[in-house]
Amino acid sequence: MPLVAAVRSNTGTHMARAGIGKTPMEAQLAAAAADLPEDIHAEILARLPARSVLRFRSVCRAWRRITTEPRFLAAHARLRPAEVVLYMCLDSAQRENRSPARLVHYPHYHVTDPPEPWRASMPQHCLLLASCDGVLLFSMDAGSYLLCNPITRQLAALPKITGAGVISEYAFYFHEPSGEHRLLCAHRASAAGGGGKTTAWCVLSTGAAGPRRVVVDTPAADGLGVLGLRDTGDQATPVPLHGRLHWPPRRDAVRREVVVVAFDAVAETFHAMAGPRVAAAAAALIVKLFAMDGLLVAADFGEAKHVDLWFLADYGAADGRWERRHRVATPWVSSWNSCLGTADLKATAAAGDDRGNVMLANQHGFCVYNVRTKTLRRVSHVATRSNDVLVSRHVFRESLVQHRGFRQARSSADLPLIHFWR
Amino acid sequence: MASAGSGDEKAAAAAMITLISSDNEKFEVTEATATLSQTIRHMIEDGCTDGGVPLPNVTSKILARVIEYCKKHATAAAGEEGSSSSFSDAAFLEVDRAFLEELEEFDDAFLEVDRATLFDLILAANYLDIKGLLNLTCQKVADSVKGKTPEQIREMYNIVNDLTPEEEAEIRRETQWAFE
Repeated sequence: MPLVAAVRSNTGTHMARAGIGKTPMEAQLAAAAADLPEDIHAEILARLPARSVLRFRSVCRAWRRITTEPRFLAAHARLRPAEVVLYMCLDSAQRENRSPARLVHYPHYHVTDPPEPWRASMPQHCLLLASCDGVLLFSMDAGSYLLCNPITRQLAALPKITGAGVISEYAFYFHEPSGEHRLLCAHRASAAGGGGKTTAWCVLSTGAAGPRRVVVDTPAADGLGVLGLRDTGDQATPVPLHGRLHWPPRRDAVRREVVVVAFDAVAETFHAMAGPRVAAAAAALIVKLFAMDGLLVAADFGEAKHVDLWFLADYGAADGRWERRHRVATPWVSSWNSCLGTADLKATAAAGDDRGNVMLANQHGFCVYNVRTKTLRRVSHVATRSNDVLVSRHVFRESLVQHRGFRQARSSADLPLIHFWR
Repeated sequence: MASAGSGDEKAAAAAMITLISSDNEKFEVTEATATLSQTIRHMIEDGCTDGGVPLPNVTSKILARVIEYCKKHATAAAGEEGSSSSFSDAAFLEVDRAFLEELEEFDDAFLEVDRATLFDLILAANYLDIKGLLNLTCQKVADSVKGKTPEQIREMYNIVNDLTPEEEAEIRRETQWAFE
């Protein structure tokens, strides 16, 4: 192949003009590329994985400009497919041939006296609490948090809650009006007079100097039964939709109904909504929530043989109408022993992309169901019992969006250990 | 399916539109096929399609392919509209799985074209505002370049590197892990 001479053009995208010193075939190809307007370049670049986008920033000035524009970054993030976060147990013996103490254990990271080289590279007591699009929330030591976008390699901290007591985290979310990442927590301490305990709800924001008290109008917000991000077993990750965060449905002991508790992130108030009429008789429901095409969807894992998908058709109406639209026969029933190696993951469900794919997983298997084609396929995954890789309930979407309050990590030693499987 | 619609819908589906390519070739298509293009949909709504719709940016070769795509996908769209409204708790949503699989095969085969044709299809999809076709074709290009190096991209698409060596080195420093 003869080398094509680079010819500087006058077109905005700096594409070489066609037909100068080329064979007719080359000229035809170049003509096509040169004719593509810049918004088409953006359309194509927005469909590339984050890694490719970063690499292609050094192709030319136009591509660097396109791929750093906030509007492009937002569009790119919206097109990213969902990925499930995996955990890996690290034995210090594997790396250091020292004490065989397990450094990381799911669901609670226990960092048991890491050998010296690890102190620098692995934050101590680093527990992944939540994932909000491209940003992961780690709990460091008591009352301190680390926000990390592993794609842009940016970090942020949250204000620290001081004083004695127990802190429970409830929701990690992006607050659109302020452009801040926020964490809703409850600080429980013994009352001054020694009688009983007091609960203070507060919001920690990336942009704030300190925690902000929230007056929760429901004195029994505890009684609403919202689950904390650390609660094992029925780990609950609230789902953002229409400016509210929704906890997975649970049975209300008093009203004997299935309810969905929601937190309005703007008004900062709790609400109870009607939940789907799931059939499971068990007191504890295994129902996961996710949002898909602007609808709230509940995945009921209560039966071993199938997963039911319930859609909330008319969000905001006085009497929310949940419709059971899909019954997905679970493929893992026949291979009951193909356990993913964690009893702590009960179930996870998430919209995979904008093409109708839903990811469903529990401790027995992992599959992708398409609500448009009504087809199901099993997903082979790297998690097995032998390699100590575990499937978490966290869903991650790559994002190159630049958020306020984040700083660039100086080196990978600043970042939690994160590995990307390809 | 479209055939299950009311009398009015049938009449609308039967209405024909004439599309005229840049090389003056005329194509007769149903309104249902033509309105997959938002651009043409707006022209129909504005009532300015009498005497045909001239498309000076699209050659007959490309227009024929675009119409082929729209015909196939218009049938699929009609099917989806028909079933979503009549859903109830008792009756699970039924879709024609065989048809959707066929549609996927159609899309795969449709993309088996040379790069120049693919670019022309992207331009036509963009001009005619056909979201599905734009997504399909752009994704095809993205998939074909995602593993490439910047040097390979410049060579493939004949792009001039107008960054100074210093600027290039800076970008590489900032995005080092993407090159690993």
